[in-house]
Amino acid sequence: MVWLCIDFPDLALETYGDAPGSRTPIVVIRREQSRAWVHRCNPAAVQRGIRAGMTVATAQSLSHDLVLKDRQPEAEQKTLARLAAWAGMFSSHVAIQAPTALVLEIGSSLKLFGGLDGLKARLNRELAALGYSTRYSLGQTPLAARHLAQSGVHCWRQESRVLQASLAALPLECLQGFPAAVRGLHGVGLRTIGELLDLPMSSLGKRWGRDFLECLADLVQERPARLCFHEPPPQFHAEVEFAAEVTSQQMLLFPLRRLVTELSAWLQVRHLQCQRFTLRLFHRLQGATVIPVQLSAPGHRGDIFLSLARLKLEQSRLQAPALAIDLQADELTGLAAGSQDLFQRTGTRRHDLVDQLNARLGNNAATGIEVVSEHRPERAWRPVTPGRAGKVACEQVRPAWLLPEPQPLALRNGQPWSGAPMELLDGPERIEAGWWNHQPVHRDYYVARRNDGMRLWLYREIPTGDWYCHGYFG
Amino acid sequence: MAMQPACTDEHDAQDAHTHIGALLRHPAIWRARDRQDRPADGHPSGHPLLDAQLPARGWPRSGLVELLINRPGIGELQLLMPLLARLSAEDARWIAWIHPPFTPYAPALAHQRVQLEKLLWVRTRDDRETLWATHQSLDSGSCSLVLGWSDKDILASESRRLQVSASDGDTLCILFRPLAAGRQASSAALRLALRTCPEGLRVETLKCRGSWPAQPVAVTLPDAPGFQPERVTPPLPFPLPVRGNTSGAQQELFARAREKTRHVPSLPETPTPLPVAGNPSPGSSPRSRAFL
Repeated sequence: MVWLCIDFPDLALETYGDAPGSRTPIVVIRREQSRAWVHRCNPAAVQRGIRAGMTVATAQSLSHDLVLKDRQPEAEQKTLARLAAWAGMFSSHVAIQAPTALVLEIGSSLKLFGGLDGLKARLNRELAALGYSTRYSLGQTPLAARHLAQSGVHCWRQESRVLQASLAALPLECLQGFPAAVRGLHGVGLRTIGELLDLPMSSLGKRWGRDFLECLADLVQERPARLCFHEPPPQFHAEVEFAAEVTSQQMLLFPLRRLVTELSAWLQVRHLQCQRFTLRLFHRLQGATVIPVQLSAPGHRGDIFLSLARLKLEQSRLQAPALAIDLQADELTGLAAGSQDLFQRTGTRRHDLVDQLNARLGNNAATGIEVVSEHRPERAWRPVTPGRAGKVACEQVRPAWLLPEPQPLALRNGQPWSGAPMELLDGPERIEAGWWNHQPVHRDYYVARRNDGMRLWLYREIPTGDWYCHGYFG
Repeated sequence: MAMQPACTDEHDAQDAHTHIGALLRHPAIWRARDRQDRPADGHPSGHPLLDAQLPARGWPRSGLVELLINRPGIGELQLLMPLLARLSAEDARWIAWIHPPFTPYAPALAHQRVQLEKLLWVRTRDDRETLWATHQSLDSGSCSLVLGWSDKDILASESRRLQVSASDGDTLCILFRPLAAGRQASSAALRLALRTCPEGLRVETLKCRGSWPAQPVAVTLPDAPGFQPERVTPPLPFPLPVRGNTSGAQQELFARAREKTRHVPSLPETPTPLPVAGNPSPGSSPRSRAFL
């Protein structure tokens, strides 16, 4: 087995959904010994000279518009759990290594991704979509992979000889749980893990205790039973808080991309599809802005979710600065057999267009039309969901353009007049219908030609003798 | 550099080995004498006279086509009906109507064998949205045909973008524009001006990529009353006002109406006052009383 560890060193900062390019300096602080320290800071803060490990007082003296945020261990763990669900697309064995790392058994998935190179390309692509800063490494055991990743060693070979050599080269300091042991071993001149592992285990155990021995055993032996593998939750709900209030829609795109990427991965891992999801923007003083995003057919692709959510977001104006955004998947259906059918590719893409048009232009902006078996011309058709029109034949000759409302025509010399002289070509066709549901129609329809060449569809109300134009033979 | 005009096959053979030859093989370059060799791969328009004028022997399979009309309703849809029927039957993709001026009437389309389930009617609120929706439909590649109506001017750069998107998406985009737009430059591969005439439509080629504009042709529009020349001859008399005396001509009209009426089995000799549309009082008509 080969293990992959992905470490998110800036998780404390990146749990907040602010875009990395944000110009507001943001500092996440940790409180220790009744003082506040800079734990992590964003690039804008680094530009002002702020570094992790400073006291907050120093940081504040460097920048007056600093945004200070306390660490949120709970939110960090929730984020890590969502990332574990996301990592499910690479391996069915994902374990959370608190506080910032995930380990995945990757040996059995290598063939699927086309070897280590293919895996690395895919991993980089997916990580870029999420937008976290990461470091990752392979290792022979989960703990070895984690120490390699967290020491910044990027080992990307699966031969055990190479993996062992990389582990042996690590400094002793990476055994952070045992500071006393590390100090003692330094005292006898040991510097690397390799030198430590060459010593007899029994004497190490006598001197530094059972826990230390267990840790060394985890480094060299695979003991998956000691891992607790993550199960993706049955529902998807993700919330991202912002450190600095978000005032422009542009700045919402970064957290939005992260949320829909996580949603898409979660759907794939759970073998589900989603037809509707809801975005909510939380504000300081007023209720949340709710943005439902509806798809015409269930799907699971992140890029489509993102483009629809973007269009929706652009439609709704940001009423007040947003403090947080959350996403909930509402209408879930199982991934039906054949829904990923190669041959139905055009079918799914056809509906993507309808979704995009509806998202930007408003619901029901894009419809189909169908024939209704009905004599009254204005009721002989109706809008339908695109692609759902029934097949009803039509025998009569009808104009291709129907006016939304019949247009009354003035009389001139006892003849209808629509701006130019007309002559009748065909008619009358009497239509009497609708008396049974109190919307009766008594009309004689004629085809007329205006002297400019237009063909009009006219009718005369039988009871009143008024003339109307109802359509054009376009 | 002196260039010999390449006129014979020997010259062609030489061309092939020179830089000029390589240049001339570029798909965007056409020579007038090659016109006969071009593949006739267009969609037949259903009007043989028009097909003969178009370089692809029909509507092009992709790209931008502009139809210039002074007002909608002169028969422009009749001209396209064979294309609509054919594409809706053969292509699984949408036929998008972006912001049509009136309601596309489903019974008329069904009558001309257009498969309505392929139809996508897109309503927009302003020109910006119309242009966006047109681009979106073209870029998606999921439309076989995009019909667009534009009242405002379209910039040359916009028409260029539409032409590129349509070619890339393997989609035919037909844009309806006012006749006055014919004076502006456009990147459309084909521009036709449509005017009414007794036979139906007079189609004038303004621009035709890969060919040269030909003489205007008169296209007879099938299956629309009054478009067939033999039916143009005697216009009907206008019926007299309802409450007036019934003249001989009107008697004849009523007789014809009786023949045509399908929904009422018999009609009295003179029209009896019936309830006015929009007056929903039950029992006002003897027939409805009998039913209720």
